[in-house]
Formats: sequence, structure tokens, C-alpha cells
Amino acid sequence: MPFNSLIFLIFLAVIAVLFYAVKNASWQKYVLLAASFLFAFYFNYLSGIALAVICVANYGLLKKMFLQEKNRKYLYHIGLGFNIAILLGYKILQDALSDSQIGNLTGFDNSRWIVLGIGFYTLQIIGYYEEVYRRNATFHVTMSDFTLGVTFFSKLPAGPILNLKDNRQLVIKEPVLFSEARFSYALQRILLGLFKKMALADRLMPYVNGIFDKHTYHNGLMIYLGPILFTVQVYLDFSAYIDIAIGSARLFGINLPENFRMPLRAASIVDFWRRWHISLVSWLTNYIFYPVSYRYRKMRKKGLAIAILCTFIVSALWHGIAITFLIWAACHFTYIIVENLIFPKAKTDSGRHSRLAKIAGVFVVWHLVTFGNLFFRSQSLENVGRLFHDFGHLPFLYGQGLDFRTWMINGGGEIESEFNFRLSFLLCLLFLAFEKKINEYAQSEKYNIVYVSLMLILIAVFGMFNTGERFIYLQF
Amino acid sequence: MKKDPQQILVELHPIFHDVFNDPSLTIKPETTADDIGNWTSLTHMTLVAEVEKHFQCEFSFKEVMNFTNVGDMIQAIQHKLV
Repeated sequence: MPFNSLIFLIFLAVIAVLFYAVKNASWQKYVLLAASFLFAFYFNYLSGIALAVICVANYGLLKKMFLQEKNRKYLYHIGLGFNIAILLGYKILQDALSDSQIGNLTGFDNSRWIVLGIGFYTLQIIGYYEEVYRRNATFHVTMSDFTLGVTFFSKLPAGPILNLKDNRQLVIKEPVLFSEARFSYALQRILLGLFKKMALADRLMPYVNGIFDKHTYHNGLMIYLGPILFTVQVYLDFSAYIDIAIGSARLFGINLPENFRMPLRAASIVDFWRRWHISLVSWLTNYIFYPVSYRYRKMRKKGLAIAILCTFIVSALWHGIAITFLIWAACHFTYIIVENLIFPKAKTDSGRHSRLAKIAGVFVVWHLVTFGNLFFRSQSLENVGRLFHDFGHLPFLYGQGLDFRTWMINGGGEIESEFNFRLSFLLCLLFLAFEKKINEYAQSEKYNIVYVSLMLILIAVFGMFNTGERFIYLQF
Repeated sequence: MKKDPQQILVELHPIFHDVFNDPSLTIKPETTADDIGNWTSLTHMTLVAEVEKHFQCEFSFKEVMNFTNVGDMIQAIQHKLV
């Protein structure tokens, strides 16, 4: 049930009607729980069963660990081992079973073996173990509240990853009454997500796939554009998913944390990581970077480098067991080391530098992130090698460089394809230029008929109405 | 050797100037990471290591993770110096 499908919108409307009809806090919670399991089972049986088993086992272990003084360490290690084994086992199985890497983004062919959201909610639960073990948080949650915190359908497929404090956001103590402000926020945020996914990200997809997967048709400029377009696509796609997740949750009075803060405007790499996939970065910082950097803090820069390396290795493994993810992580490790440990004084400080320096910073960060994404998106090192080869050996000039004999979603000839490409490019540029303002409208509790109408028109005119293209981050 | 919070704050200033590469930086007990652009997770641990070295003390991991502002750090240092 992709978020950009009609069935999801009907599902959301039916759940909302039921939720507000029951008018009782406990029943409202059970409506959301039932909806979440239905959502998981609808995806496939494996997802529903895995979710039930993982919730029951972890709740029991966490509760015991919280209440018992004696076996805390033992239970902590069992809990961590259990979840890490599930996560790693799943990643290894995925790698072995299929071509589930980022290249195969169309359809749901391998969905039988995808356990919806497992990479996200196992990390979330590992975070709970850390918090309870370190005694940073109490564990006074009921089984149903814990389960809802893990399974809630709008965050289930791809986060945001919650911590124990966030989990309390999902505890419904008082009956949630319908509010116009909440409805307006939900509608406007969901529309933004649909627009970003259908009218922007999905329009870029054929070109990105064409350049990365059918590289023999492309040369110089298009190969240079490929990773840039992918960077924009993956941002729009993932943030669109988050917009719909946050908007849907707000409909039920649940405030999910933000996951992006306009990362393509970052003027330094550290700034980029403060704006990109915030919930994952926050998890990695709290549970990998801080413990390792604390341990080696007396080694100063070397200790920090070890901690950064460990953080990126875990991040790469979480994305998948592949050399391309490790190289992507190595790129970002190098960027951070150079920016912060070798040339810390040259680092762009948003408070101190001129507008021109900031623009230059954004330009450099875009290229660095894009270079890393070349590996992130490519299915193998062989592909990367071929892209480099074609980039270097074929004409770079515009007239010769742009070749639209590419994999096209709509069929049609080269002229249509070229027009579509330019239109998609222009739409994305316009969106990124006015993103801040558009976000303000989308995140307002005040109903804005002009914004809503405009979004509906833009989706209707420019949206890709297919069967609901899969969100890129679903595979993680 | 016991030190009062004001004295600790004065001694913290050059450490902050050095770690955050900003000689004009002025800190108060209420100063948080949000007030200093460069106070990131990377500089946080460098700051902790420099403060430990200067005051010849050692913070626990829990203390380091619970510093919400400069005042918390001053309080922790004060406890160590008793």
C-alpha cells in the first residue's frame, strides 16, 4: 500500500472516520494498532508476523531489564544480540536473495521477501535498549503503547526512527477529538508529499534510472547530471514519504519528529548531516559516535576519527551489505575528516561567512554529496567504472552530450522525452528555490485554499499517475 | 582545589575560544549548543577532552551525555574539584 496510491488514501480516510467515531482513548489506540497490523499484513504476511514476534519478544525483555536489577546486563546483551541478529540476518538474506539493491526500484516483484520497515524499527528498539540500560529513560509503557510506538503505520515503512521520548508521543491518554487545525495541517502536509513524490521525484526517476542502468546510451554531460539528479530525486522521494508520514500521523493527534531540514541548502558536510535523515543521524550519533568518541577522547583527533569511521561503517551496513555503500561511507568519512579535523578553520560557519561564501559552500557540498551518491546509487563497482569511462571518453558538449534514447516511462519520441526532461528539471529547480516558503504553507494549521488548490492542480497536471512507484527508502 | 562557578566560567572561556575557533565567543551558564554554531557532536567531545585536561578531572559518559548547557558542565567540574 504505497503512500502515493489511491488505496492508501482510502485506507487513511476509513481509519480516520473509525478513529473519531469511537471517541474513547483506549479504543482509538486499538483502532490505530489494528490499522497498523493491517497495513503490515497487506504488504505481505512476513511483515505482519515479524512485527508481532519482534514486538512481543522485545517488550518482554525490555520490561524485565527495566524492572530487574540483577540480570540487567545479561538481558541487555540478549536484547541487543536478538535485534542485531535480525537486522544483519535480514540484510544478508536480502543481499543473497535478490537484486534488491537500489537499482531495482520499480514494482513489487521481490516484495515477498521484504519485511516492511524492519531496518527502521529494529534500530528504534535497539535505541530503547540503550536508553533503558543507561537509565536515561524509564520504561513505564504498556504493551499496547510500546507496540503502537513500533508499528504505527505511517512511520512503519521508513521511519522516522523514534526514541523512547518520541514513543510517548504515541500514547493516547485522552480521547483525540477532531480538530480543523489538525486536519488542515494533515491535508496540506500530505499534499506536499504527494506533489514531491508524484510531480517531482517520479518525473526524475526515468532519467536517473536511464543514466545509471542504461549507461551505454549516455555520455559526458548526462553522466555528470545523473548523480546530481539522483541526489535531488532521493531527497524529494524520501522527504515526500516523511511529509505523508508526518501529515497522516497528525490527523490522529500524533506529532512525529521531522527528518529533514532542507539538506540541499547545507553549506558544509557537517551541516548536511544535521539536515539529512535526522532521526537516523541522531540514532548513530547517540549510540555509535558518542560512546566510541568518549572511549577514545584522550586520543584527540585520532579518537574522533575512529568514532566517525565506526559511525559511517554502521551506517553503510545498515543501508546494505555492499561494497558500494562502504565506498559511499568512506567518501563522507573523508569529507568530515578533511573539513573538521584537517582544515577546521576553513570550515563554513553559517554565522560568519558572506552570502557568496555560503553559495560556494552549497555548491561544493552538492558536488561532494553527489559524488558519494554515485556509489550509493550504482549497483556495482563495475557500473561506477563504466560511468567514469563514458564520462571521460565521450563528448561533453551539450548538443552531443544530451541523448534521450533512454528508458522512458511514457514512451514517445526523443522530442517529447527532451521536453519532459527539461520540464522535470525546471519543476525541481523551482521547488528547491521556493522550498522554504512552500514548507511554511504545508506546515501551517491554517487552511489555505490557494495552496491546496495549487497543489491539487500541480499534482493533476504534472503528477505521474502509475501504480504507486515504490519509495526508495522502503528497501532499507 | 575548590573553585567557584564564576572562576570556572572564566577558565572555560579560552577553552571554548580554542575549540570553537572563535576568540570573540562569550559564554554564560545558560549557553547551549544551539547558541554556538560550531557546537556539534564532533566538537562536543573535543570540548569535553580539553576541559578534562585543563581541570584534571574525568567525566562519566552519563555526565557528558547530560550536559544541556555550560552551567551543567560548570556544576560537574565543581563536584570533581571538591
